[in-house]
Amino acid sequence: MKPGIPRYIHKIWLMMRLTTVILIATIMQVSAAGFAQQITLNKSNTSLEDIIRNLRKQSGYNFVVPGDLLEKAKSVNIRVKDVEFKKVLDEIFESQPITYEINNNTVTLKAKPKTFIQAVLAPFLNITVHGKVVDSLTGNPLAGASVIIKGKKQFTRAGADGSFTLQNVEEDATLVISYIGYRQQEIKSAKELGTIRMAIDVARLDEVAVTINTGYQRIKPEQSTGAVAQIGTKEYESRVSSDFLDGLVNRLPGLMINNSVSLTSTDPTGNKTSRPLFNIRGISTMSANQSPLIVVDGYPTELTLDMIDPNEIKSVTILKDAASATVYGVRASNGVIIIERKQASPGAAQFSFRTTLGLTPEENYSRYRWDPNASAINSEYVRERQTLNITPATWGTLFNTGVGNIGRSIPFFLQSQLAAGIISPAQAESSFAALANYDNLDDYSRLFQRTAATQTSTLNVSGGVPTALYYITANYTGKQNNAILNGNNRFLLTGRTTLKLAKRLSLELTTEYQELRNNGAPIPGASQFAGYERYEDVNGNPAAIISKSYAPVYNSYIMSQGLLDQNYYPLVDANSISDKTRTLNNKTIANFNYDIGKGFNLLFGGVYETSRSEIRHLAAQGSSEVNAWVNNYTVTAGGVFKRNVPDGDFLRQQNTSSNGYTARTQLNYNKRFGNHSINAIAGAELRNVINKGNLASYFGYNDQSLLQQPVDYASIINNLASVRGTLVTGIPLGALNSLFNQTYSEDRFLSGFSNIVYSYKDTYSLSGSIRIDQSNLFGSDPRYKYKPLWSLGAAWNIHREDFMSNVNWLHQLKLRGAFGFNGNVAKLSLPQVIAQAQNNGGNTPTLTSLVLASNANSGLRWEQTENLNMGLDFSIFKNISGSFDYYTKKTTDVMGNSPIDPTLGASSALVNYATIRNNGLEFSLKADWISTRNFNWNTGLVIAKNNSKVLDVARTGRYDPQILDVLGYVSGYPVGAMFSYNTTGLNNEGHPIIVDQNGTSYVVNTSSTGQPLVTAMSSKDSGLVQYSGTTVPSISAGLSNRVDVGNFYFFAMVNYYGGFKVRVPRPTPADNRPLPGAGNYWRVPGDELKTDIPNLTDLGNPNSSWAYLYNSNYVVHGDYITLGDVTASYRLNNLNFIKKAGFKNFEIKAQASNLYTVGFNRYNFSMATGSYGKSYVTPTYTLGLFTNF
Amino acid sequence: MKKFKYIAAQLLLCGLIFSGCDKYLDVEPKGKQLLKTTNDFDLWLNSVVLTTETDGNNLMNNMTDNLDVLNINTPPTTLGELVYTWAPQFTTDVGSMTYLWGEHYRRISLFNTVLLGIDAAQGGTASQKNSLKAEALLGRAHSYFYLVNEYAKPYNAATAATDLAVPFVTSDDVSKKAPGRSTAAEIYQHIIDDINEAIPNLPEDNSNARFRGSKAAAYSVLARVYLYRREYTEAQRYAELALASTRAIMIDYTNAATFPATTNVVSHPDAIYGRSSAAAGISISAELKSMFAANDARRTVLYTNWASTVRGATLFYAQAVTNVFSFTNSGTTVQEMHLIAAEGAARANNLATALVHLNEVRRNRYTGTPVTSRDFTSTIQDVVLTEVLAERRRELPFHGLRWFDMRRFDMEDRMPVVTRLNAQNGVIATLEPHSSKYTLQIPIQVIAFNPDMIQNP
Repeated sequence: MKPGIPRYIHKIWLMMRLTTVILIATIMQVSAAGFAQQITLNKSNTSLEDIIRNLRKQSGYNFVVPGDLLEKAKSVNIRVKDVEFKKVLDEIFESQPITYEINNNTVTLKAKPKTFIQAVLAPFLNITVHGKVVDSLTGNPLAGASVIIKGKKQFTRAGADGSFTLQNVEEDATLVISYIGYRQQEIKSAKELGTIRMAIDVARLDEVAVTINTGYQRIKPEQSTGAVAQIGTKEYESRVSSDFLDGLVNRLPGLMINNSVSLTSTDPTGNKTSRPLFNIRGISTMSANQSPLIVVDGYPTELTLDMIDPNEIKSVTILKDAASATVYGVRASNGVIIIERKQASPGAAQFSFRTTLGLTPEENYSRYRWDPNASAINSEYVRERQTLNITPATWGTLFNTGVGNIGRSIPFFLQSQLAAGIISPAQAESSFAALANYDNLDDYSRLFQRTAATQTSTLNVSGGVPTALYYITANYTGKQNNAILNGNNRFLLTGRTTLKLAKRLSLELTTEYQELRNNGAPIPGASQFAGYERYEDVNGNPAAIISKSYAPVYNSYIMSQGLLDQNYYPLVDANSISDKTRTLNNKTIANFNYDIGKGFNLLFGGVYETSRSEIRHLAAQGSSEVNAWVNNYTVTAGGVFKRNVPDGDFLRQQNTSSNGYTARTQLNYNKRFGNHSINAIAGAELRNVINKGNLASYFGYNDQSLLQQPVDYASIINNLASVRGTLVTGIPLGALNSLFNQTYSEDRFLSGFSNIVYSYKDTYSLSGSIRIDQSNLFGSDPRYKYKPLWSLGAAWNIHREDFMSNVNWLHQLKLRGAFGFNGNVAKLSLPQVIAQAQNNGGNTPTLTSLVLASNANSGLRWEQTENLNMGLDFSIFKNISGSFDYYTKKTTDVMGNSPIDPTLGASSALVNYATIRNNGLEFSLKADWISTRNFNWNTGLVIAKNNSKVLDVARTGRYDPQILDVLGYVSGYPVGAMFSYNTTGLNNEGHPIIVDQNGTSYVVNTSSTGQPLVTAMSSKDSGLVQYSGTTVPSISAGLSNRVDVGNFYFFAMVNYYGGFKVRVPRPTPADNRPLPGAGNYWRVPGDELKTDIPNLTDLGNPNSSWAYLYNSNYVVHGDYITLGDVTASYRLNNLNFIKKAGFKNFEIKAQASNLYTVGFNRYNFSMATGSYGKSYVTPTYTLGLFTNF
Repeated sequence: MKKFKYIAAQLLLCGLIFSGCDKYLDVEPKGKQLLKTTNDFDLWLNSVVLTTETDGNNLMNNMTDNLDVLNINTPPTTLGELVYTWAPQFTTDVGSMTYLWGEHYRRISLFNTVLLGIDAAQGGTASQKNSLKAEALLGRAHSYFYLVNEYAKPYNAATAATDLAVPFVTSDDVSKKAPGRSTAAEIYQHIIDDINEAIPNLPEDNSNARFRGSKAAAYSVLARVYLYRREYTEAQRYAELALASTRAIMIDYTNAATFPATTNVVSHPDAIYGRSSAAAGISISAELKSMFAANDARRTVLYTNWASTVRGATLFYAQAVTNVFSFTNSGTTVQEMHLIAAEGAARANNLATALVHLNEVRRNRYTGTPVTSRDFTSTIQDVVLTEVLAERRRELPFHGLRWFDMRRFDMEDRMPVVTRLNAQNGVIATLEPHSSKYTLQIPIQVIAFNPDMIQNP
């Protein structure tokens, strides 16, 4: 295949150039004609069109004729010789329902206005039209076919028997009859139109307006057997989205996007991950990536979602079940999101410009559920706890290495000074009082917070001729975050062209360029440090956070020895440490389409994506990061003072690039034989992804002069004693590859796929799909080879059956079902050991070595999801449509890292770990309740319910809330299950009391391992640990309403999440920001009547604190609603100055997002606020200008 | 256009009939690979994992009578505290890391990979393969030495054939089921047989990578093995064989100019079979502290705050004093071999030999001129043996061996009651003579997967 390609490409270029030349020639021709003001004509019974042609030739005037105007024209009889042009025109148009206007050299024709009498008489002259629409071959009625009066808004749909009636139709009107998949017909109106036979339009079957786009294939909705949901431009753009995913929240049933609720899970090696909900039909995999596959313009993308400009969305389709998603293979087990972007339509250049500004105010900490006496509560608590460990000798030990270099709290130091007699009790009390009286929240807000702002601007131009279309967009988004010095901006340029290269060959070409810049600086969290810690001293200079620094006396000591300040100053670090990321993304998609004929169609094309990013981490001289390293490698002992890491800026620069391509060849077959139709595809794909990266570090760097200082890495990395200091220990530079590194990986995939949809009489459909994936990731083991994934589906269009022909209000009723498998293969686990290269710096000299990457693992099987879907689509009355879906997904042999017998040589291994079942119901409804010329009320409703259950999971270990709550997967319970103790209060010693299922009480007064109660509290069978519900919402619903009144529209979206539980955190004085009442813990007998916060010892001990913190009485319903968006828009199109300025559309939109939320529990706690501590949602206000010109 | 169709059709066919495109997938990922050649297995034995035998902080140090920690939660909760108070289990969480047991088996699995694959490896001579195989046998035996001394009762020749030890695993496949516990006698037999099988094929010298095998390394491990079997004559014989065949030399603590440059303890000149472990900032017990003479160089080279009389203020903390000794070698060293030989000789009442070995160590540890002033002399067997054992404790306090010594001495009724005191001098834990705590329980993480496995008391 190699030779020939260049020659071929050359040919295409040649063809394109020829097309351009021909185009230009056509346009030139008109203006090249000469002028003749005296006209000679001799015609009888000639069409007006011919006359105009003739006039144009003679006069040189151009004629502008609006679309259908000439259809109303009568034939012309004229005889003139050398008559003035204008007089000739007057004569011609006198008897026509048409008049004219001359501007410069152009004659513009328009309809004559009706006379008053004509207008009055019109309704009486109008007629009522009857007709019946049927399939030309079978004679079957085409229910739902639309009948539109051309140029008017009047229209109707054919009933179930195909018949229709339209009243008040002008006698000479033209009716346009259309039906999806059939060739459109135009007929003159008449009282009885009789039977209108519609012919199937095979050639345009895949171009009709409403199709289901699977990325590989377009399927007529009535033939589709899979569960899909789609949203179009108008719906999507009702709200202003600055982020592509935002616009999808609760708009598509089955797609769960919720940034406020996270699933926390722990893999058995102890790695805890927490990620916001973004999945389709529940969570059925345990590997890190649970997100759906995202397909843009037909190809899965490896690039960031930021690449998708929300202004360019034409439609978003989600594929939810096996029938629709199997064709994407192993990557589709979490569902697929298909994004189709706007296309150009032929014509003169259309411009559109959009700009928005969104503002989010800074946090209002006074509205938080935090105890106003945070400093007092926390300092008192720490003081009381630390007193137990402090002796008079403690203060003295702080001057020594090993003790002084541990971060401790201010109360600890004060108490140590008091114990050592350095300060008097009175001094100590006044110092503690000073701590209690200061709270750093105001300073925090002033120093680190601001109003967040997001600004976007988009300019778009599109147009072209039918053989060559273009669509070009430039977009800029700038964002500053609430946290100071943090923000990002991005610039996006995309161009799409569609070229018809030859009669049978067309090309779609898309190129995109994006630049992303992200600026970060370390800003502490508001509750990261205790309230009495200061960010600024009284003079306004940066202050050190004591608990994250060395003991002040030890820090003074090492500084007196010539070392740098080892303290942590948040204000200094914020301004001296920065992380800047610059990413460039490029993408090119080229799709050739060759029409072979006889129903065959060959598609070949591909996508090429590159992404390059540069991550610059710069820590300036004086930052805690640089100081710690310099100190660690400063030798002070033995009379020699030497810095082995230079003092100056530190720069770590990381460059990564990713290049990937997907090449696809696909044969489409689309044919109808009588009652049978087949829509089939078969194809193959090659995919290659190369990731590369390099990392370099510079010490003693100066960003201005670009100079750096040499560092003796050999001594540092080889752990030579001569370069290590003895005063500051334990902050080493790390491995050499954390400073300098190269990475490279290449993944190759080869896949074959096929999908066939067969339909009989457009009433019964069957579909089947199959896919085989192969990769180079050691995946050539014969057991993994050639194992296909497949699915089967069927659909029945009930409304097309004869027995339904009398039901006039029903336009569509379709029942569908599908069954199939999605799967997953372990990429890097094999029956043999896999090794990876590594330097061994533990030996001097450093050795090259191979270390274990993956243990030999001969017991793995495929992960498989068995997927069953049943659905019903309906369309009733005038404009109400919707669907029901029921599904079950059972994923068996779910792979996960599971603990294994340590005797086998590893703590964990990839094993077939779990079985998870998901089932649920989905319902969606779209309705135009009222639809008139000036008023439209539209509602969209989406409800999805998902039940998940972990049927089996290979796990052993502690079974208590502390562990289970973050496990994510507990056998016998839904994903995200939560557990509690039934705690009833305190006994008279301040110990919590828990109750088991049988009502037996236990006082939790011990945490000693081996005690029966301690064992029972972590045991599955003791009945002490009780299930409290799931943390993952099982119901999500969205209700959107849009009301259009003239040029104004109003859109509002309400979201509901329910069927889950939340745990209200319990106040504890140990928190930096304690909840109200935290200071009210048990102190003396009798307190148990007033509080359920146990005594201080218990608060610090595992079991008793669990009994308090995991009290089932504080697990409440999590159900909440949010008023997601309120958007108002006004089109100023009718204003004169707007028109004069040349705007076709000028729309102002105002939106408030996240306005209000309420939780349906006794605390009004809604997860939408982000945390229990925050009692409100922070709204975002957006103002936008949308124009077309 | 015809050509165009042809290309497309070819691509399509290629995708549908996979065999034609296998070459496309024949790209091995960079940086990752399968073990195929003899050289691959050689590099495999260079792994940084094999420079250690336990996790970073050698937990067995925490069980010894060399520590005195004031700041202990009541009840103990952290790992260090549980070990320090001889809790039967170090965790209640089956999902957590399996210290000691898991670490040794992790290395055993790596060595098994070599033993299972080396014969089929491409390239390399038979002697290269034999040498690598011998190294793996030695390494595996060394790991089993630790296991048998941690999880089986202190060695008793009379009961060894019935005392349960640990499973003997020879596979590296994580899907296989582990065998049941072998007896102490069986495990020791495997250790001794494997090392003896390895010795002829091992290299003479390992100076470039002292954590890898050599003949001297094999003898030194055998010396350890026989020492803890309390077969002192054999122990002395192998210690002397190790000393005779190694190029390692002791480091003179009295002369800072001779200190090595690197903190990598496995590359220090005194390492025979190097295994790195960390011991930093450990509060030492008054008893250990009292054993050091005023002219003992180790006091200033390895410890901080020696002058302080506050309880627990003196720390074993070389990192803060002499960086080069930041880590301790839990593998075999020249000084350990001298001390084993000295002990063997003293017990055999061969006092002259015992003192030669003992004084060889003392001359590199004590200050004083002339060098002979640093020597210890006595003609009483008990005095010599006591001094050898005291020197052993001073020299190897935090090298993972003191716990094994305590077990051994407990068998000889040489161990008093060990107690743990809190800051207020209250007793929080006690280790009585012949306590079952001298033998670790099988970790619950292991029992969870092998419910039939017999647990130690």
